[in-house]
Amino acid sequence: MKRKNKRNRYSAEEMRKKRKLKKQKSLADRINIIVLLSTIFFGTLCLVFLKRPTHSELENRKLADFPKFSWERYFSGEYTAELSEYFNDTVPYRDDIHELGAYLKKAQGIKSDDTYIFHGDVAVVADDDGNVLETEEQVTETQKPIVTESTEEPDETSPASPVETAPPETTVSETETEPEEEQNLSEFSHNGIVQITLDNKPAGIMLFGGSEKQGIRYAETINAYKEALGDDVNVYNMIVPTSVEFYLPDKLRKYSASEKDNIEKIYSHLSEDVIHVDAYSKLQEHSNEYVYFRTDHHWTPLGAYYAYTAFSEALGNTPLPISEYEAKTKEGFVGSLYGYSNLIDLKNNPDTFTYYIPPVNWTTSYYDYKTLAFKYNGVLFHEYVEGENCYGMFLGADAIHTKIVTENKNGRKIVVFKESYGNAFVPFLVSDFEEIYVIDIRFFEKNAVDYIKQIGATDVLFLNNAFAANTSSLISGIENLLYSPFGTAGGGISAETTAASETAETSVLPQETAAPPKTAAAAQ
Amino acid sequence: MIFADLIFIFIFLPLFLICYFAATKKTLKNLVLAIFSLFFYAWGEPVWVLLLIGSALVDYCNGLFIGKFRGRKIAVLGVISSLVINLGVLAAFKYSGFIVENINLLFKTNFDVPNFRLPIGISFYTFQTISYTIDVYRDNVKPQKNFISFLMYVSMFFQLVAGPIVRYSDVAKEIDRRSLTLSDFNTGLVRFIYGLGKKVLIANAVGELADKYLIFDITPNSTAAAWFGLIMFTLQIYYDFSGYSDMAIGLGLMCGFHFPENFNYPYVSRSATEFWRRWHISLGSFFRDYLYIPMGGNRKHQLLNLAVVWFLTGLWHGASWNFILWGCYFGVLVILEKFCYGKLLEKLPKFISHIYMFFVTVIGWGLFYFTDLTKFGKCVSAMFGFGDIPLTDELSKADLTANIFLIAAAVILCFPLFRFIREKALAAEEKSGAAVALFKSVQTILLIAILGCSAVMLASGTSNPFLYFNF
Repeated sequence: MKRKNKRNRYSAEEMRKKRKLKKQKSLADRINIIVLLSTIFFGTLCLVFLKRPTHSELENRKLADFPKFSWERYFSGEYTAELSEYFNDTVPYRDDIHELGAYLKKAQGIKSDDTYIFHGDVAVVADDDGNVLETEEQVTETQKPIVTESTEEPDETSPASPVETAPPETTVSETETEPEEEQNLSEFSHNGIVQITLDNKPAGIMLFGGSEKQGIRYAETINAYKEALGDDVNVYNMIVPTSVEFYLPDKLRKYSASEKDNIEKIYSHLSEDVIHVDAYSKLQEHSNEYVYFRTDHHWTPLGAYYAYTAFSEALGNTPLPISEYEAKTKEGFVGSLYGYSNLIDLKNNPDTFTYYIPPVNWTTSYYDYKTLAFKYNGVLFHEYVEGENCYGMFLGADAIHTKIVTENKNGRKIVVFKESYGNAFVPFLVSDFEEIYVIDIRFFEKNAVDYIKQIGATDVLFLNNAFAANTSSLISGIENLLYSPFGTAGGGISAETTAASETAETSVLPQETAAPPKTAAAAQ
Repeated sequence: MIFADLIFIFIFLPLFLICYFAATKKTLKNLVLAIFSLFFYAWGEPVWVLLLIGSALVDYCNGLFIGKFRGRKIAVLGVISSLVINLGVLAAFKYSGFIVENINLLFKTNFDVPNFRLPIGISFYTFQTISYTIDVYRDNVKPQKNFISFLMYVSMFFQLVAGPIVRYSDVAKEIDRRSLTLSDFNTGLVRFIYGLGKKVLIANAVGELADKYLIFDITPNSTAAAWFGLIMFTLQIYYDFSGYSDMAIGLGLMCGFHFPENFNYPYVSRSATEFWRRWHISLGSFFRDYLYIPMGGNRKHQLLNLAVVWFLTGLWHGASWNFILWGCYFGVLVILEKFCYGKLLEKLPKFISHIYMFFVTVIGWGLFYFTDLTKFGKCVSAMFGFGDIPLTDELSKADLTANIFLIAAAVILCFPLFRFIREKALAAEEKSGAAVALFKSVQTILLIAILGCSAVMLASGTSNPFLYFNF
């Protein structure tokens, strides 16, 4: 009896304790539920009510649009897929979130100075000496595009449309440049990106996939231009090596095909009538200088200058020494390689962007690629650009056709066919030519030969980086311009262009002269 | 729609929870669940959602038919109709292309190869409805009279797209009568977030690495690269699949359903037989209860039974020879273990059976990964140093160091360490209030971190593949 009582008392106490613990646990569960659900609901509110961006500075591209509904697209599953894409692509503060994601990725492992970080689908494409493997064609062509976001053709007309109303020196060109950067990376037959250490700083390098077959096709396309243009027009070809050629550590040689071999192969298939411009040797000679960006896939204006000296010599001119130009600097340039790879070390070690203003006078006018209609007079150097957009300084953008008229009355007129590497190069041409026409291969739609003949060009330069000269779609672009049926509308083109250049002389000259004299004075 | 998606976590789920808990009556709750499930399915399959509803309708009728004629011979017609229709649908959508392709190859004929896109989750929901009619026929469960309730069971978005295969008998009672406790809801929510982390933070990250090494054109870069790639895939498929199952089980719990477990640390197994008791448990037990045992189990022609079961297990995973080979590979191993060296394996020191299973699992996943068998051959020969291939390469070295913490965590979490800690914590919580406060707050903080990191990773658009289109 006594014992039983004791047990009861004991268990009563235990029961009380248990009840208390149970209460405590249920309270903890309640708190857990409330905290987690509020976190989710907070996320909901942010995603629904915060402003969604339409453009990414980081990746330099326009973000996905809200899809348009139609039953057809709904039943095909496109609509919901695009809605998901829109929702994920335009997350509020997306660039900051991407940066956070980059830090999380970095936290997954260790990175020291003698290790590399690879991004994208990297494959062995060469032997240890950089000789391309035999089946290399397969390798580059089956490579999945690494950019998962839409790589659709950017709408060339819509970003340019505000130009007509806005004065040139607004932020217009920032929006114009955006499609180009993304295109470059996703279009090129590249082989991923590797982060190395260069002069104690992290540097991104695009690995070269290379494709001899495409390179030869490129050469044949240029030959066809020369044939179509005849002896009256000098045709120059310049293939620019990229940073992978000079800075890739030997250990990684086999992940990148040799651009030198590739360029030589292309030159060996070029007709003798096409004048070769050897940018490779000049850049190699100066490769210990700051000729390529560490965070961007482009060359620096200084690199472009060295290539220009090769071109100027090929013209028979003496290039101005770089000291004659007015050098200006912008800090904090974080280029495409970060936006593309999310390698956070690149973001934290931005490039210095130095550009050079030529000591001569010129005027710049811009035209629509589709119609060749005059759009506005503007500046060649869009000096207001900052940060991610620095490389967009030249020519305003790719998506608009540029004409430069200089005070050199030497009668030489050049048409430059280029991809974005040409942007940093073109400004140097103002000391050699009277008129410069810049055509981005990816946007022009008229028949190129007709166009060249109509404007009476004396020289034509094809300027492409090694990746571009191996990229099927770009080569097709050059081919299409040659055979483009639009050329039959030729009379119209010349009328439009001349009309446009007249306007340039009359109406907007004062605005343009405001900039160059100042710089010219400063340089002298 | 998939679980590991911003729209699901931050829009669909909150809306669903609000509506579900706003509905007070059970029938209304079931209706809410059915509507949200159909919407969920229609997001990815705007057309084939009709097939899902049709399939549910057919088996709803079959169930009623069997129930009406229970005990009479004619009732078997309901089962036959269910089998023919479900397996017919599965064959038409999943296997018709494969069958015609092989007939063309074999008889040099030239039939047009049908090219249906596989409706998501069809392999899961057809099996679920088959289990229903058979269980009704066997009198394990009563036929469901309410179509909405039945449709809700078939379409329940928790397990619809990636399992587990929840049998009707598992949830029969809970469909009509379920009590939701605070503790269940909490456990479910916790489970869901852990599953999300498994999928987004581990599976997606190692999956990106796996693809990088396994999508090769000529040969893998090196012996180390081939091993690295396949081990990453081994990790990916476990975290991906079990992460989905965790999310499904968690969501079920949040709504008062108790689903069976689908994974039980498969990579600690010491034999292929044990592996299949721990991997995709709901599939293995489905084949056991609805095929192996009815065929005679181990009482008559056991070898034939095993052969059929493993052939079909392989085939179920996809209409391609490599999946069939993968199933047969495990079939052969299970048979060998049963009749040859199973006992020996048990007696040998543990580490030997673990090494054996390491090779069995990794190579098995190789067979599973490569639909192109020549590539599988190249990968395996590279792994064992055949061919002119270097031992290591800079790329795999770089990726190993750049992801070393991730990989270490992924490997460690394959073992029941986490469960061990949780059990210790639970035991301590039984004793002291301080332990409750400590462990629960640590867990809450950990869960917020997982949720936040997962959201960031999903929003920053790193690859988020969906592995189950084949199933």
